[in-house]
Parts: sequence; structure tokens; C-alpha cells
Amino acid sequence: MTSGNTVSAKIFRYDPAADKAPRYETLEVPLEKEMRVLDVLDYAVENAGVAVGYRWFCGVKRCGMCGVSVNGKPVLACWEKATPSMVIDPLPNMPVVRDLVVDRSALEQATLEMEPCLKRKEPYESFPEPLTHRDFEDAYRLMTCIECYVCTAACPVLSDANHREFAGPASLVQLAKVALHPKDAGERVAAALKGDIYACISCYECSNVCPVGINVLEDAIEKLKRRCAAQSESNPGAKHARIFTDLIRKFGRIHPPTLMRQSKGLMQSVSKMSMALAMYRKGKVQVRPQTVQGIEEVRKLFKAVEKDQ
Amino acid sequence: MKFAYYPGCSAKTTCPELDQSMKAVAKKLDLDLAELEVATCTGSRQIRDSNEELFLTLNARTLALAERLERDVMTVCATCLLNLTEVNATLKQNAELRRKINANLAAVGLEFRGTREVTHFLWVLLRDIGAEALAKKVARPLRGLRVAPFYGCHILRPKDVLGFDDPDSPTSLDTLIRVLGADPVAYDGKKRCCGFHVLMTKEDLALKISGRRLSQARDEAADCLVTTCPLCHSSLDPYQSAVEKTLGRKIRLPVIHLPQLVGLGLGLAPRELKLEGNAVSTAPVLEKMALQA
Repeated sequence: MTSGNTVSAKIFRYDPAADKAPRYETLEVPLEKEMRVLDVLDYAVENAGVAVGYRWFCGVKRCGMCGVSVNGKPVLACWEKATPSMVIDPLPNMPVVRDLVVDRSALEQATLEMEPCLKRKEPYESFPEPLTHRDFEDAYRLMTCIECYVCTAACPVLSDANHREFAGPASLVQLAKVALHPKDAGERVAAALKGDIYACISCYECSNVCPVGINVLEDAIEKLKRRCAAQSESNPGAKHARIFTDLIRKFGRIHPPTLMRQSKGLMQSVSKMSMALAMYRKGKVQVRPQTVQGIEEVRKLFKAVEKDQ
Repeated sequence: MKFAYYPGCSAKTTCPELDQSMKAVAKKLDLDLAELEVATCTGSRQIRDSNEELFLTLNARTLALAERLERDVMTVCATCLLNLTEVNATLKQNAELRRKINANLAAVGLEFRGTREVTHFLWVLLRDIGAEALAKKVARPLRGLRVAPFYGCHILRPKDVLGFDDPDSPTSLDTLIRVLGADPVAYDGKKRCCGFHVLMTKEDLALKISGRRLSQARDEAADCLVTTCPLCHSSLDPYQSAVEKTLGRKIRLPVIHLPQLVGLGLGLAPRELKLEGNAVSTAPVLEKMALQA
């Protein structure tokens, strides 16, 4: 049933073996009720003679294969509503095989290197394991991940900064899924640091695009970072978090010059001298830390928290 | 309109111009702000990334202080907005956790009851004051000024926690810019990250991220960029000279705090808004408005 309206779809076309450069092919598709992006692509091939390459299997948000970028946002083609004007690109942050088909093998390799399988402390006893829902809560939340890599496609650390040392959010979800399992005893902090977890900039782009609604940053990455902060002596990101916390204990608020000196070390801080001086002239640097009023209260709270830990 | 004002660490240290302009604009808008002077840092990303109970306890204290004043919290920092909003929601929903955190707060004679809300100055402008009422107060429309909105991650995402604007196509700051008589610049970077949270630990990475935003805004012929968060402001303003070195390109884009821009529209003098306090000179903006610094 058509509504009389059309979808104008501008589709990315590129065959690296034959084409010098990518191009776009625009076509008009009759807009149908409840039409999905996947339906638009099906129409292109079946009714419009446009031999665009794309990948899909289940069509119901289970297999995680049909990721594409629509108007700049990574989505699943099978779960995204078609809109009157769409630019459909392959997922960013991975090489193009042809048209909308991408090669995820490097990202999948990064996941494999994290050894995301349960490594038990003790041998498996028998079914059922004595686990409560609560024991299992954190890991369970991540078990709905369908490994579509849409979160990794949205990550600006990879796209804007091309920081390839970062394993990306999808691999970290797989790592967290086992790390948060109550029976796991694997070396998860080492794996997280190897995947350069502290390159995460806490922007929530991954959480924003997850098709199954996982808050990737808070439910996976942040929980791993907490373990790293507790267990890693030397990692600069872990150290920075501890230095930051100690400054709050001492002053109640941050004193940026002290934070910089302690976190970066004296030598690297000296390299920032000209900027610091310019900021000082603008009244942006207080040489001595200010302490918030009622700091005694704050310290009492630190004590109350640390007593439990 | 009464609020418990939570300025955040940056407005009290690296961005005094934010605190000063907020107070000047509050007077002009009849906002009665009671500053939470004894409140601590909300922990940025660092405390929540390392000690969840401490994160909850420190922010529960700030919220309890506002409850004691019987006022909602208004902040000018997006990261503080998210931290306080999340802790408020978490403790309201989870009675067991609330009991645990309140046991900590008992050490200082406070209790979190969950009776107040957390908001941002941008939301107060559009939701509490309202675009129409605000437009009537604009004494000096910023005609012809091309302003690049820079929303900041933690005022947009996660959507189910914040909920005020659409993270995929946000409009609130664009609307505000129009209310002030200026023209919002369209560019993808407006809803993206500034890189601040790795600035101390991975500066090269942070500068590449902020460099993308600044060069996009520059390419769209913006006269200035406006931020809702002093952390974004730090990445984009004092670090702009470092960004220029990374990019190998001059940017020289004035970066203005939200209350400074509002203050200009309301007719306040540049000095009252401490526009001389921004790292990149704001003189080109004032020249375009034919104003004396």
C-alpha cells in the first residue's frame, strides 16, 4: 500500500576492484507504510535494477549483519524507519568490500584477542549453578548484544581521530560481558588496557546508537574502567582518576594546575607553560588551590565511603 | 524563579568569566540564584570511573543541600548536569541504594530525599522562562552574527536520562541563538564531542577531536562558537592554539559561554560579561556588534 509519497534514497556505490572512486546513485522509491531502510534496499535491487551490494540475514534485529549509516547515523537497516530523504552509506570505521558491505574482520579480531569466553576460578560443578539474578545482573545486561558493531561505527575516537590502538566499544562490550560474570577469573584489566580503554572520551555516541538499547558507555566501558582504576598501578588513565579523586578529598574541588602537574608529570607540564602563562594573564589560573567551605564534611564522607570498601 | 546555583569547578577556576556572566545575566532575568558554595566537584568522569559509591555520595550531598534550600539545582556545566541528574534519578528509583548512601550522608547530618530536580541554564531559558518571554527581553538583537552552536555530549546523551533535546538533531541551542537575533550555523560537529575528558591523559587524541569541530565551524564562516559547558570551552578556547598547531591551520574562532551570549543580547556591557577573559580574543564579535570592549 503506497501513501503516494516517495523516498529519495542516495545510495553509496563503490567497487574497489573496478571503480576509481565512490559515487552515489539516487533513486525514488514509493514510500510504503512501516517501510524500513532494508525494504528500500530490497526495492532498489528487485524493482529498480540497481545492483547495490548490502548484507542482511534475519531482518528482525537478531543477526547484527545489516548495519549501514543513514544520514550520518549508524543504524540497522532492518530496524530503521525509512524517511523521505536518506543518504545511505556503509558503516564508517571499517573498509568497504563493495557498496554497503563492509569488512569487519579487523574489529572482530580485536574482540577475539580479548578472549571473551568465561574463564572460571573453579571447575564447573553442576547445573544449576547457585547464582542469583543479582549476581548476574551486570553481565546479563550485556548478553543482549547482537555484535552488530554499530557502536564501533559511531565512535569518534576511531573516525575523527583515527586512533586505531583503541579496540572500540563493541569489543569492550564483549570483554565486559565476561569480566562482569560472577564466575569469571580472566585477566580482564590487562585486556582492557591492551585495548586502550582510556582512549574512550565518554561521549555516549555508542550508547546513543545501540539498536538493542545497551548503555554501552555506562554498562560496559565505565564498569571496566572502574576495575582498571582499582587494579592498574601505572596506566596514566587509571592514575589520573586516582589523582583526581585525591584532589577532591583534599580541596573539595579541582585545582587544574595541581592536577596537570601530578597527572602529566613536571616535564610534560613545563611544555604547557606558555599556555598556562597566557591563561594566567586572563585570570584563568589560581596559583594556590581554593578549598571549598565545609571541607571537613567532605572528608567525613570520604571516610564513610572508604570504611565500606 | 529560584534555583540553587551549582557553578562547578571550572566556573570557579579556569572559567571565571562563566561564573561572572551567569550572575550578571541572572540579575537581568530576575533569576534568584543561591550558590551552593559548600558543594564539591561532581567528579567529572574520573570519580564515577573509579569509585561508584563515592560518586553517588558526593552528588547526593549536593542534591541534599539543594533540598534543604527547597530549590531545584541549576548548573552551567553539561558534565555536572549529567552527573547530578543521573545520581538524582538513580537514588530516587533505588530504595536500597538510597538507604546505603543516606547512611554515609548521616555522618554529616544530611539526608537525600529525592524531592528536587536538576536543570541547566539553557533549559531554564527555554523551558522555564520560554522563548517568547525571553525574546521580549532582548534589548540588543545580535543581527548578522553567525553563531556556531556547540551542544556538548552530556547535555544531549544519554537521551533517556536527560530527555530535553534530540541527540540526533538537537534544536534547543539553535532556537536560543535565533531568539537572540543571531544566525545559528549548521554543521555536524555541533552535537559531537569536544575531547575534553582525555585532554590530560591523551592530549594528541583530544586535540584531533576538538580540531575537527573547530575547523568545521570555521569552514562554515562562523563568527564565534557558543558552548553550554566549560569543559567543552576549555578544549575549544584555551587549547585552541594547541589545536592550531595540530591542524597546521589558523582557526582564531572566539568561543563564548552561553550566559555571555545571552548577556550580549540582553544589552549588558562586554565588561560585565568578562568577555575580555576568554583566551581567544572576542574582539571580532564585539566589532561586528559595533561594541566597545
